[in-house]
Parts: sequence; C-alpha cells; structure tokens
Amino acid sequence: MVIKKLILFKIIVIIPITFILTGCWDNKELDTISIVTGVGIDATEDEDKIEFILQIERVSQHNTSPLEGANTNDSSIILETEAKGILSAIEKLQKQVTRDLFMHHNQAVIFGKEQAEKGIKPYIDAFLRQQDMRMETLVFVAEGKAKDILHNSMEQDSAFSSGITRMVDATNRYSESYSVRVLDLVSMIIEETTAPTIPIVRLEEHEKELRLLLSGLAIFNDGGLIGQLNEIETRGYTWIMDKFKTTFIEIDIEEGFSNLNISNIKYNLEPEINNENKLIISLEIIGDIVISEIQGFDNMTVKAVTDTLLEEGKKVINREIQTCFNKSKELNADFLRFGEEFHKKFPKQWEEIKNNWNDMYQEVELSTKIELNLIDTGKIVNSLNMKEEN
Amino acid sequence: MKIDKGKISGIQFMFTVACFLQSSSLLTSFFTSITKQDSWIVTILGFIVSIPSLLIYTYIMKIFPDKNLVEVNDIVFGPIIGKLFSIVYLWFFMTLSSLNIKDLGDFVHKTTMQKTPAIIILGIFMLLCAWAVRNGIEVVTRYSMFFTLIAIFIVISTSFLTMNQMKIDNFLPMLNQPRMIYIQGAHIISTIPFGEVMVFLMIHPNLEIEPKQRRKYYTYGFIIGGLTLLTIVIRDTAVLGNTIKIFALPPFETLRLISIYSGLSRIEVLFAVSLIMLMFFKICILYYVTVMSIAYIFNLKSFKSLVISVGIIIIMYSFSIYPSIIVHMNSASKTAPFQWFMFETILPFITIIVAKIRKLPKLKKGMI
Repeated sequence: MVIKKLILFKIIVIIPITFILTGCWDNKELDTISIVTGVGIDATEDEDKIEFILQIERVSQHNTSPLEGANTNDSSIILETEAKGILSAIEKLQKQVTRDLFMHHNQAVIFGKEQAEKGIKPYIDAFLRQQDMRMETLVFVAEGKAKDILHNSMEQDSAFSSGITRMVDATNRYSESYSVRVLDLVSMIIEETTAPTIPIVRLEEHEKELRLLLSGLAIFNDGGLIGQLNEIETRGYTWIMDKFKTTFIEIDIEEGFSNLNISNIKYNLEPEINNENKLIISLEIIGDIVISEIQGFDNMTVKAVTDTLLEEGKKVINREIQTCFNKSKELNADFLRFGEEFHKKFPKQWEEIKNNWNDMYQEVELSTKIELNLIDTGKIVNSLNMKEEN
Repeated sequence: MKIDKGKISGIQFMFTVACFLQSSSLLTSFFTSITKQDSWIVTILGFIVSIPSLLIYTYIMKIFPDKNLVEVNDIVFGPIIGKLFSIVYLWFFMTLSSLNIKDLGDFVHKTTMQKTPAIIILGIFMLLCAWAVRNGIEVVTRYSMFFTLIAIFIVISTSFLTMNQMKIDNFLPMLNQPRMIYIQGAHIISTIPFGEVMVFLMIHPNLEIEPKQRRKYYTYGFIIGGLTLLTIVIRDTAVLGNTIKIFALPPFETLRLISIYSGLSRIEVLFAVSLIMLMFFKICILYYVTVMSIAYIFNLKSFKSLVISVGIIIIMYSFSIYPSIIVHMNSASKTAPFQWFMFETILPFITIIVAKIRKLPKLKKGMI
C-alpha cells in the first residue's frame, strides 16, 4: 500500500510539472508575432545611416473573399526607419508594432541601388550572426529604391517577398542565375578574387500598374556595385557558370527565324596554365537540341535547314559567352569565378596568381567548344514552306 | 569491492563508445574553423593518431580487468601518490562534464530557447541525468544502441536530403594549407572528441566480456563513432564550401539549408533532437565517471548519496569555467588539446610503464 501511494504521489507531482515547466520563457504564439517576410535596405542622405524597411505579412486578411477585391496593397504592412545598424533598426521598428517581430520566415533581402553602390558588405554580417536569420534567404538588388519594390504588389501573389521567391523558384527550372542565397553571397565574398553577383529586380510600367521583373545581374567588388549585366550577358554568365538546365536559343538569320530548345547540357570547364605562363580556360558545352519553331527557310531541304540551325546555334551560344567574358574584362571583375578555378586546380601557383590577379585577369583566354546534337524536331519534320525531300 | 554491480554486455559497450563519440558532432567547429575544406583529412588523421592511445587504454583494461582507474592508480603508485593521480583525473572528469553541459546549454540557448535562463535548462537536464546515474551504469548504457542508431539514421538521411546542394569542388584545393594546421587540427580532434574515450577506464570493470575481447568491442565502437563524425564533416564541407569556417555550428547550418521544393524544409530541429539525446548520454557517462571516482577515492560504500551534490557542483563549475564563448573557443582550439593530451595519453602511459617496472598485475592476481 505504501509503495502504491508513493507511486501515486510521484505521478501527481510529475504530471503538473510537464505542464508548468515546459518552454514557458520562449513561447511564441501565432497571435503574438509579426511575421517578417521581406527586408529592404536603402541609402539615406546621411552617409553612415541606412534606411531599413521591413515587410510584414498580414495574417488575418486571408479570411476575406477574393471576390470582394480586397485591396492587395493591404496584405502586407511596410515599416521603415533610419538607423546605423540592422539590429538597432529592428529594435526601433519593434516599437512601432504591437507584436514581436519574427525574422525566421524572412524570404528576401533587397538592397537599393544607391546603397549597393555604397557597399553592402558591412550589412551582411548581421544576417549571418543572428540566429533567427536563415542562410537560404534570397538576396536582390533593386533598380531604384528597395522601398518601392517592397511596396509594390504582384498580381498573383499579393506581397512582394512571397511572390519573388515563387518567381525565382519558377526561373530555377530553366536557369539558376537568379537565385543567390545569403550563403552563396558569403561564399563569393570569401573567395579572394571573385566579384560577387546579385540578381537585379526592376519595376516596369505596364498599363497603369507597375510590374516586377528580374533583369540581369549586379556585379560587386569590395567597395560596392560596379556594373550590371544585361539580358545577353546574363545568358553568357549562365552558360559559363553551368546554371542552365534547359533554355531556348533564338536564331535570327537571313533565311529565317528559329527557336531551338537545348536540354541535357553537359558542361566541362578546365583551367590551364601553358608554358608561357598564360592562363587559359577551356569551356566545353554539349547539349541536345529540339527544334521548337521555324519561320522561313523557304525551299530548303530539311538536312540543309538543320545543318544551318546547328551551326548558327553554336554561334549564338558562343557570342553570348564572349559578350559576357568581354564585359567582365571591361569591368576587370572576375564574377565568372575563374580565379577560384585556378585556385582549386593549381594551388601551388595560386599565391603568385592571386597577387597579380588584377593584371593577369586581362590576359586570361577563354576557348570554347560547343557541340549540339539534334535529337528531335518536334511533332512535325518539314516546315510548311520547306522543300520536300526526294 | 565494487560499488556498482551493474553489468554491460559487449554490444552495449560498443554502442556506448560509438554514441559517446557521436555526441561530439557539435564540436566540429573547433577544427573546421582552422582546417576548412581539409577537415575530413584531418578527421582521418586524428583517428589514426588516437590509435596508440586506444592501445594504451585497452592494455590497461587487459592487465587490470576488474579494477577501475582509481583502483589501478592505488595499486600502481601506492595509496598516497595514487590518490594524487586520481584527484588529478577527477578534476579532468569534472571539467569535461561541466564543459559538455556548458556546450549543451549554449547550444539550446543559441538555437531554440533564447530567453530561458541557462540555469533552468541545465538544472532540469542534470536532474534527468542524476536520475539515470543513480540507477547505475546498466541504466546509463542501456539506451546506447537505440541512440546510436537514431543518430546514424539522422546523419545518413540528412546527407541524402542535402545531396542536391553538395559540390565536389568544395573539397578543392586539397592539402594546400601550412603543415602546422594539419598537425594542430589532428591534435585537436584526437584529444577533444576521440581521446575522451579514456573515461571508459572507469567503467570497464563492469563489462561482462572477457578481457581479451574488450579491445575488439572498444575498437568497433570507436570506428562507428569516428565514421559518423567523418560523414558529418564531409557532408558539411560539401554543402557549405568555403563558408564552413565562419559558422559556430556547421552541422546545424547545413540542416537549416535543407529545402526540397519548399515542402520538406526547416528540419534542423532533427539535429537539435539528436544532439540533445546524444549529449544526454555523454553527460550521463561523464557524470557517472565523476561520481564513481569520488566514491572510490574516498572509499565510500555507496555512490548514490553523492549524485545530486556532484551534479550541483558540475552545474556551478560550468557557469564559472569560461567567462565567454570566445575564451571557450580559443581555449578549445589552442590550450585544451595540450591539457587533455596529458590526461589522455601521458598519464595512462606513465601508469603502464610503472606497472611494467613493478611487474604489478601478476603479483596482484596471485594475492587475490
């Protein structure tokens, strides 16, 4: 009996303990937090300070019926303040909201162009150091002000930050150039010769409303933004970095116009140092081609057309790669990570290369070898106006 | 005279050693911050370097099959000097326990519960450990197999889940850093996680297996633990690349990156669960060893009355051991390996040599 009473006593003591003593200090309920989904950093007139913008998702809005046409701008709250550091800004903003700012679900960090020119490196530290910031948060540079971009809403995804992550997810199926996470950025900053790249988001006027789009890449050096890549240069970058999964090659020549779909891309990049101490990068790209669209090419046989198309396709890819490479030489910024290739392949010579990298980069040669194999022509073989083969 | 009459089987012992090593996966940043992409080479080096120490421990186990470290010291060095040696070891065990519980406290504080006072976390945790320790070694080691298998499962499954982010390139350039770095790294890893298995010298009299078999199980356990650690280091390097050197908890960051089409993501809590589980195990062993060495030094009849008070001392010690995490990291990668090296290799080695000179085990066996 005594033992049974003892056991009963223990149970009575233990069960309340599990209710009382579990996670009482750190509890965060959904109704006590403000979920931050986007962070923007803009320059201010004051040299030292930044304008810090937070986007907070409104939780209760989702109950309203979409038919009522809820004001899309209201689906998120924008907070802004000026401060010297990121954490002091968050602390200031905490006083403006009724709930705890919850950073774990932050989707994107956007730097305004002006701030990007001044430099972004000092502000990365906070995103690494704080436990509630995650390394897979995407980083962007805004053409213009970050604030305008965060204020803008998208048609299908009302808030900017959830929209942009979906947008990047969608583009990732074709090319991964537009997805730069904090981790990737830090990795690029750590590499001694690499110039970091960050995708640019831009607002474009579109029938009274502004539409958001990804356009090109921003190139940084130690100080800040030094240049940006346009659409074609970005394609070249994507080829060289092996970030294409599948893409279209547009061929526009005298005989006609065609779109080729390239997939199953095999890639090989080999750094070399030849006898004269010259640095050479040889790039090899092999891909499978499917003809997706043909206009023109009147009175040519299928064989002739496909031969021309493959030949032109190689030229197009080569041109894109060379444009990008020339741009990088023009900026003297090694955003193609060639230096790192030499570092990895030739660790012994690296010390010497590293010290003269700025001069040596101008001398780097890029040789490309592109091979395209036609595997399919789509549902039809001949085009409507092509010559019948006998 | 044995205070704790619990028995451990060979398999249990093997998994105990493995589990003990796996729990060090938290500490990889001590050497990954120094050796960067070559950490996996250093792990293998450290593994090889600690094999001689392993042979020393198993030799002591063989020649004194039913005596624990404190008793061995008494026999080898005589009652007075032996006690001095034992007290030095006691300090070592106690420091290890407090360091580990401090690591756990820091981990919980940094990752999940930022506002909860450390004393609450550590107090509750120690209470659980004390409960296990009071019930003796059999209870402490019973879950080793279960814990080891869960830890291995988590390591393997997360390696698969991060496979899409791994880059072989991240291991290059290989062996391109100053030679001292490899020596330092190998030294750290051979003393901090691997050398700590010397605490089993306090437990081996409870083994149910033949003295000759002990080396086998000990080595197997060591290999399982070492391989798990190696897998973790390789996975982290492949995923994090050159950023591995800046993180205080590389495995945690790696798991945070897992994201399979935004459906399966944010599973770093798996790491937290497995780590707290493994740390519970490691701290139990260290705690038990500390309690037992006190009991043997003072020739007590029972160790149960000591458990709670030693637990309180360990917690208090863990609060005052380092003023800040920077000092902790510095000492872990610079001074601690040398201190531990003395306890883990030099002192046991001296024990063997003195025992050899005095031809002790045979004489003692004849007397009993």
